[in-house]
Amino acid sequence: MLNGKMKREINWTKILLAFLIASFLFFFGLFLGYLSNQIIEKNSNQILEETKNKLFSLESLSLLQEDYPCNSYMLDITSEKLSFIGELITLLEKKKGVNDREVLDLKKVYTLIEVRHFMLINDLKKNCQANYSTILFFYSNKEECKEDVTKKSFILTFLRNKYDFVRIYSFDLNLDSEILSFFKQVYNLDGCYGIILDGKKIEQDIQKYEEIEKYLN
Amino acid sequence: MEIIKILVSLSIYIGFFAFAFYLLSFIGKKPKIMKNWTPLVSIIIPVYNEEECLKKTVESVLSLDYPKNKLEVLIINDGSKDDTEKIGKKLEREFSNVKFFSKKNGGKGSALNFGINRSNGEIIVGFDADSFVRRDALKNMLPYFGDQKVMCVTPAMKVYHPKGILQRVQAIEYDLGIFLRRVFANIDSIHVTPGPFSAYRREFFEKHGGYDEHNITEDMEIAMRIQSLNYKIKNSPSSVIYTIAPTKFLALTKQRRRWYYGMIYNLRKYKYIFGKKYGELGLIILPLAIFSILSVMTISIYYFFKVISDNLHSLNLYSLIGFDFVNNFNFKLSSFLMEIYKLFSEEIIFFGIFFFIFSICLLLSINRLLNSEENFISILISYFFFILFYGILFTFWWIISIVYFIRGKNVEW
Repeated sequence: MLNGKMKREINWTKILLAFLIASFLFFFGLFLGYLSNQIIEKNSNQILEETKNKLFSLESLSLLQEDYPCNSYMLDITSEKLSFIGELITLLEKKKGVNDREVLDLKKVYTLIEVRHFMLINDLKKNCQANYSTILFFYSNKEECKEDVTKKSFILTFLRNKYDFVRIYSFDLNLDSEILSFFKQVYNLDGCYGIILDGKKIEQDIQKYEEIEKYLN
Repeated sequence: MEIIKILVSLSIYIGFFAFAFYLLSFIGKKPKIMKNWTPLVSIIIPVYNEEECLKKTVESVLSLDYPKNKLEVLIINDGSKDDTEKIGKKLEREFSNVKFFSKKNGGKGSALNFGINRSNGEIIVGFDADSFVRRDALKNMLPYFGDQKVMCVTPAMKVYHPKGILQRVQAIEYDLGIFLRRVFANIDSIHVTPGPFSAYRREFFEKHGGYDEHNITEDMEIAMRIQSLNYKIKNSPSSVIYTIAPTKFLALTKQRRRWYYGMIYNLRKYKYIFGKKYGELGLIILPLAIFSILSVMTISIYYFFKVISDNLHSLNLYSLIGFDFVNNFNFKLSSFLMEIYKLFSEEIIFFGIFFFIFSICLLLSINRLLNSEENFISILISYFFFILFYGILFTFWWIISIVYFIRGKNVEW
């Protein structure tokens, strides 16, 4: 078949060089991805720390002052930050897995801060007649619960977007935490999820947002 | 899920390898050239129902910057049913170096062979009625025949004034093709010679026969034949040919079905080219081409169904809130920041940015080097459509072509 018109050559050095360049670019891209995830994790820790400090100072203020400080401004701001960190943790969980040690540690601190925020909001409701509806959303991150939890979470996020007075606190039921064990015991939580609205457990299986909306004050 | 992740990673790695290999090959040794060579050139224009553009095409060829006594134009009417014959004869009367012939319909390959047999040129140039040339195209091509082993010189193909999504997508594909053809020429690996304005040495047809009349992509067949016989195909990037790309989806699909069907057919016919004995063509270029087709198809099919399934899932979720998009929309800076975080948490974004920047730089350089009229914004718009639609269109055309090939259906030109 070969007519001998042209001698074909293979430049092995070029091929090797191309593989080296490809490997460098590929691993450099992976490294950048790793770096950006590190930045996300660092930011999560930082925001978490800032929020923790803000809440701590709010708590201290309320204890120091004789009259309860009925100023919800700081709580609203921390509430925003909390939901942002919540999303960051979900993102990290997706990237690193639900059993990643660092993600679990982050989640534990997040859970404690959420509870603290929840208690401060409750104080505000009690002492200042502030109009808030608090929803505690307990969820399981097990695979079989994914579909159900996604739906409930979507409905609750919608209610938070629609009503400024709605505050949602999400808790991972599978997290090894004393405070979660306490909630599980108090509200008798098992299964894929549990919704506690203003201290009352919603027993019915929520399918539409109206089914929760009717309980909001 | 894991398999598709592995395939995507592998495709990215191979993509980087191809990128590096092409760039290294681009810096090739300069081809042997022979300046001021003015042989008799025969331009053959096979036509079938081309009454609308024939005159413009012939005028474009006659305006070439080349001695008129060294140029003959042969119009081969392949059994047209419209007024092509009337216009062709009129052109023959009008210009002394234009010859018009009519024959029974037999396909493009047979029309080209008919023309070759009636031509006198040392160099034979095939041309399509839906294309036109820049004045210096021929003059820039001929020096490459200085190397006696060169049997064909290919031009740079561009889409004429791309408008609309389909033409813009094709414009980017053609522009990237200009770079690739240059690279392939440097490593003697051109495996498709474009139908319009590829120039051949008559000697090749005399020694090895004309176009394969039964081949649906005779231009690919002849390129593969030249390669299989170890002759050279060179590329003249400064020989710019404009083609009017299909604007209708059906017409474009028919064209692609023909091309891809022909590619499968010819790759099977010349399967012995694969491997070390045909150098970088057999070892790298052809296997890379097959790998990219298969990986683009698999990834596109996966993401196509994933997008559909994700949208159905979203639809299901929105039904839970009664499709109340207004109340669900709550713009916050933190949400925007969150989206950025999400985007940059995926490694693939860095690969995407790399390929995007490289492609844009490449497209701008090509258009600048060829003195194209297209500006940066126009190229950017076209590239945007290319990113969005090319993968899925390419996959669709390939699936159709594979189905036709497997079922043994006939595809016409």
